Amino acid sequence: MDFEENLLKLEEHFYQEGFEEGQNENLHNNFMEGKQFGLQVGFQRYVLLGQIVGLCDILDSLDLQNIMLTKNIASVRKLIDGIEMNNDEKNVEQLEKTLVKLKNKFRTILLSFQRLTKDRKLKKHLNFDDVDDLSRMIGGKMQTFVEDEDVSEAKTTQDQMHEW
Amino acid sequence: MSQSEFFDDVWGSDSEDNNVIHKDIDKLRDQHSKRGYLDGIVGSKEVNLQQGFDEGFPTGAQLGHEVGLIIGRLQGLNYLYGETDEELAKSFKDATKELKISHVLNKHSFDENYNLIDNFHDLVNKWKLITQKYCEQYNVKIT
Repeated sequence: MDFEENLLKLEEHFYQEGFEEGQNENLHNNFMEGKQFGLQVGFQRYVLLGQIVGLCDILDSLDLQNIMLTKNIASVRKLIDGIEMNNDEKNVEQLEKTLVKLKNKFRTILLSFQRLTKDRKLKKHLNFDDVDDLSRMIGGKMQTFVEDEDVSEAKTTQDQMHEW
Repeated sequence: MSQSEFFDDVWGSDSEDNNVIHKDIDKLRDQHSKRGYLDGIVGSKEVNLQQGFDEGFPTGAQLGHEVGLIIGRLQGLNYLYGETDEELAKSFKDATKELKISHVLNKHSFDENYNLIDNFHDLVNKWKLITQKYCEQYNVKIT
């Protein structure tokens, strides 16, 4: 083994030593930081799905005797039931695809509902934007965990939003 | 071959030379170990963050789904009966304030490792019960 080769090995050895030390530094803190963010994103992604199911429960209770409406509601429920609540790559991809279908189907449901209840003199129509806006308001923009009960002066444990 | 053997082999072993060699080794260690340390911090941060993210995500998803169910049911009921049922209209308005993410993902509901205490969320449960009451009142079947 020549001198240069040995020197290179030594450099690698020192690099590895430093790398392992750096790797273990803040391991717990980084994990917790990620966990807070996971809780937040998980919450934000699933509010709308729950909200749609909740609204379907109410529409079902009216028993409007319309085959298409019943069929579409069942189809929306099935789509949502098929979504798993984890961050596996496959599920995230599936969720994105399903969301598009789901939103379109639910728009159709709300339009049928408006048509079927036009004689009821209900206040303004319930449309998909009302549902979506409310979901965004609930899921909102939040940087991370809130330390204080008083949200107006909430201190978060992290200053910046990470892009994942 | 150990480091000293290697340098002995190359440079000989008298003490004056040894001092120079050790200084050089220290310098080399300092230089490469620092670079490794920085790479280690940056590289592992992403891995650790991602692992934490994956662990927190399902609980967040579950809470988001439960809150969504409550909000959807109350929104639907309020749309249909809110004009004649003031209490219901008020409950819906209160729920939209109280169940915002910043109130649900609050440290008081979680332990120091960000796990739900006793796998139970007081605020969400409170609103589940309120919604259940209105669903019974207006004959909404919930599972």
